[in-house]
Amino acid sequence: MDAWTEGRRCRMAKDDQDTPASLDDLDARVRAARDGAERKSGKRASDTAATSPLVGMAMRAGVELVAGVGVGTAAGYGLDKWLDTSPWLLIVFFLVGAAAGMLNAYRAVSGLGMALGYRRGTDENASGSGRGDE
Amino acid sequence: MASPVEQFKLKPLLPLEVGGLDLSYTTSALWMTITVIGVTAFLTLSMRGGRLVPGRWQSMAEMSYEFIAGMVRETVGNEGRQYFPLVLTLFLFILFGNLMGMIPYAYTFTSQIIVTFAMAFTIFVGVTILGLVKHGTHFFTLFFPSGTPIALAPVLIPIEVISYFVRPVSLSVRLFANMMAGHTMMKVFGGFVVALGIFGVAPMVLIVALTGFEIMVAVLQAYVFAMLTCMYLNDAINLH
Repeated sequence: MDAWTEGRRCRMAKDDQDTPASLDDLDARVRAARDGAERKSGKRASDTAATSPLVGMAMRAGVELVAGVGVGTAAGYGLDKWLDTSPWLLIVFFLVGAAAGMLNAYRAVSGLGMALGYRRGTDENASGSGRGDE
Repeated sequence: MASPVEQFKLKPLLPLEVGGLDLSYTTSALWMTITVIGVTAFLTLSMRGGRLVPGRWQSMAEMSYEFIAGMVRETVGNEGRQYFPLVLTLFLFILFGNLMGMIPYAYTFTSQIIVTFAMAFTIFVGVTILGLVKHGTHFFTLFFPSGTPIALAPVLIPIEVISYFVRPVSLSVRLFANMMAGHTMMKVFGGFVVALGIFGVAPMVLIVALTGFEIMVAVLQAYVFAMLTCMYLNDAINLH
């Protein structure tokens, strides 16, 4: 038996000794935390803003713009090929795709309350209407 | 000198062809296997002690568990609890894949668009089916929120439909582009170090900074992927 297992055994024995008191305490705290979580689950996403890194949201916006235009153009091109309406659907879907890209980029930034404090400290009412347009 | 994109080339390790389909076991598949083994080893070995007061490894395993659990709870709510294993698996798979790609001579499988697209498309199809099963035709109100003037419908519905179909593309392109661009950039600066001789110290310093930045991007992209999966699940489960 080496020092490592010896040390672990010591620690475990110590754990065993003071478990009754600390486990009761832990149990109470876990219950309190769970109650809090249940109450909180009603209003999701409103408090993630504070914890999620801003950089992640910044990186999202650019890709959303490009992907919107790309998917719109591809859909238009495909439908044109299929329906033989070249180039009208390509033009329409390019514009719709660009609009969708901008919408997605806007949502990526504002949907989580990431627009530099905008909509962050507001009450339930405002965040409720904010989620409505998503 | 090797080209900067040489590192993304797939090398078949075990050539295998079934019915005209190339199913070779490639470097990409090898590193996916290593990642899966790594994640499994990380979670099982670090939780083997299972002590009340966690050690270093157990803390890391518990932290990643709690981080994702908190993310699912806050984004999706209590109904999202049953999808927690999916999000945790995705997060750890991408995180380990990204981070292991930072080891010299390792292959970054997340720099392949087909790998990220396969994951993103699976999520997209799964979430759509989930929404349709849960809400039936009511699911389509996602494309036309209540309270919008009816006159806007011909404009808004195509935009909303396209923006819905953009999801798998933007989700996969984001991860793939970040990983590929980062690794190419490191290789390019690595080439400068060799080419410049003694003056190669300057790009060398840059590479040190870039490596730190790349590790941040690796963690961040795994986080963003998991976060967006949660948000898409939320859209499907709790229609607004």
